[in-house]
Amino acid sequence: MGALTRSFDWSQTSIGTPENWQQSLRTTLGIVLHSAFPMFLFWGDDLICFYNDAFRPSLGADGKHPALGKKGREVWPEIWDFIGPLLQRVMSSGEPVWFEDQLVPFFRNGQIEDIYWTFSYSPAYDDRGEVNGVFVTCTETTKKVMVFNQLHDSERRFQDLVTDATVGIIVLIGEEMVVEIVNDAYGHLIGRTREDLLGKPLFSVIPESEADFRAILDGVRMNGQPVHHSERPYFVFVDGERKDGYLNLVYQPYRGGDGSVQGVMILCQDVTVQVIAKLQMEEIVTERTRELATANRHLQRSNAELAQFAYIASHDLQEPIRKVATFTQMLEAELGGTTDRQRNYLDKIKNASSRMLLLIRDVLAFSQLSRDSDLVRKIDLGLVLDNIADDLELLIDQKLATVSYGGLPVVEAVPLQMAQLFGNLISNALKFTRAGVAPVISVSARLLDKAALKSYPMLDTRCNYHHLEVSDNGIGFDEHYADQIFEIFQRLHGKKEFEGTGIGLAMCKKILQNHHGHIYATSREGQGAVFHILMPESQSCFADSPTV
Amino acid sequence: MLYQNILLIDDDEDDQEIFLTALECTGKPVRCTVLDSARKALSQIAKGDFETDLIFLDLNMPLMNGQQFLAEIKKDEKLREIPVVILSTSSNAATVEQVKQLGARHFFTKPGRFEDLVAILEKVLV
Repeated sequence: MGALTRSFDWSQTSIGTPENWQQSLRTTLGIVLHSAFPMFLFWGDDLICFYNDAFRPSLGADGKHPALGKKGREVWPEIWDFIGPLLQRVMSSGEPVWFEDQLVPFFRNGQIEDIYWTFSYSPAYDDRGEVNGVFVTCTETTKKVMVFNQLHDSERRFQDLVTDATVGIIVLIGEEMVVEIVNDAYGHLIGRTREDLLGKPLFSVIPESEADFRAILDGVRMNGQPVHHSERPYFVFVDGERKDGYLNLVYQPYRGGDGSVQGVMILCQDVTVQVIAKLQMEEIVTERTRELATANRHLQRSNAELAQFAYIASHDLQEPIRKVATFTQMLEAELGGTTDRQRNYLDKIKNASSRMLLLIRDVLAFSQLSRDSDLVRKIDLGLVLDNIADDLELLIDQKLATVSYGGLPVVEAVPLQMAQLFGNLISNALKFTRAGVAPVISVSARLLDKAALKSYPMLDTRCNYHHLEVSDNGIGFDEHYADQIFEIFQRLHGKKEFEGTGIGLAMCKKILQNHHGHIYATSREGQGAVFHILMPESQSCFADSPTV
Repeated sequence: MLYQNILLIDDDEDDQEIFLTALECTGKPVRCTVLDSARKALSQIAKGDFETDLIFLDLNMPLMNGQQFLAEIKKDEKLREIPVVILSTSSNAATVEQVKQLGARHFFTKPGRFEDLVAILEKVLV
């Protein structure tokens, strides 16, 4: 700037060329130009501008420089309203002025910039000892101010965050646990205002909590390790009334600038409503479970009693009726010759009693259908049918019937019940025949595919089933009664037409229930019937449901 | 072999009578002792009060049931060879299996028809 000042054409300015300048100006200017600290000088009535190399960067890359030799008002029009009066005051009063971090936005780098300054304006005297200029030392503090402002903003945001947080926040300092920071949410939890708490030891405000919480807080402060508590009960007295609640708590060591633990920050969330709802729910569930267990016990007991009753009743009922039948026959033999009427009465007694006996034995068999999983074995249904064909050989021959079966699967089942199931179905097929038509009975099986499985909602889609069909060419039945025939004691025919107790198909249904399977029948009257059995391959598939 | 001395253990007097009548109908030349208590029967056989080479046994009896009696005589070296035929009201498959395990020779459910009982006796007493 020294060279620039020397080479400048000063003749056009109000202060004239340098050889005519006063000694005081030269001296002051010498100080300015030789200083490494940013300096500026306004001189004369026009406040002609001088500045040094240190000040030069403050004018920016694209802006006022070179301002040398120009009038102050021309160089600083945008801030003249601010600095003009200041300069005039210094000029007229001779009193210096000083500003720290003052915002003085002006044009540089192609735009108006917010620039902060710390500066002083001092009077500069001429050779006569009169104030004839203003000597400016200044330093730009924009960066420092910016950093300070950011810090301030960040501090304010932190304060806002704490204040507006919905979780309770409190910072306790030192062994005394003096409240340094606390928000409204925390105050609300203990029924106090922030003013009640700030600057006071926490347990002087809520002494009732000291027993429950002091040890935890001391631990966190001394160990420097955070602690979490969920659904912790607490209570405080608010205006003499006890307030109870539950909190989720985080105790965090609160560190100072040097990293040492100075206290504890507590974050707490009120979970009273949730905990109470949960406790109530648990209580309801416990109560319901207890009720259910009781009901289940009662049900098991009455089931057992019912089974026991059916067994005892059937068993004991057999005795007298068997004797009636037997003694009737013995009487008949003893009587020797009888009249037709006597014989007729004796026949009626014999028929009624043997029918009663059959009925009782069937009821007994029905009541004894066991659901005990210990009896389950792997069993070849082909062998079951072999045995049934043997047992019924006489009847099959008498009826000139054809019984065919093949490709039957091995399944997990109670063997006796499989014999009862197929025994009942084959016996029925041999019983409900059409006059003059030789019975043709067949038993077949196939795996139930997954698509077909979906059409039986009572079956479990995770298990494999065999679909067995027992078909005949007998009298069939009206499909209207397709469900009814499986109910106990339901008969579609008079006793004179077809003998039977109405228990056989009910047994079949119960056996399938015991094995998690299903049975149903399709038919057209006079055109035979098909009994469909959906039998699980394995009972272990139902391990979680204790039926068989 | 031909059975000569048989024993019926049944607490039901009617059934005792039916049994004896049916036995008579078979025309077999056997002597039949009738006892209404399994416990009594066990002590008398053990003492050798009478001879028996076949026992017909009811199951459902007070104090000692048929199964217990069966188990007892199978423990006795001298008595275990005497064949035992069960004649019971029960037709329960589990019971049948149980007495077979205990060593019963035959199991018959007391039939509803008198001729059937005669047929059973004829079959057993060949």
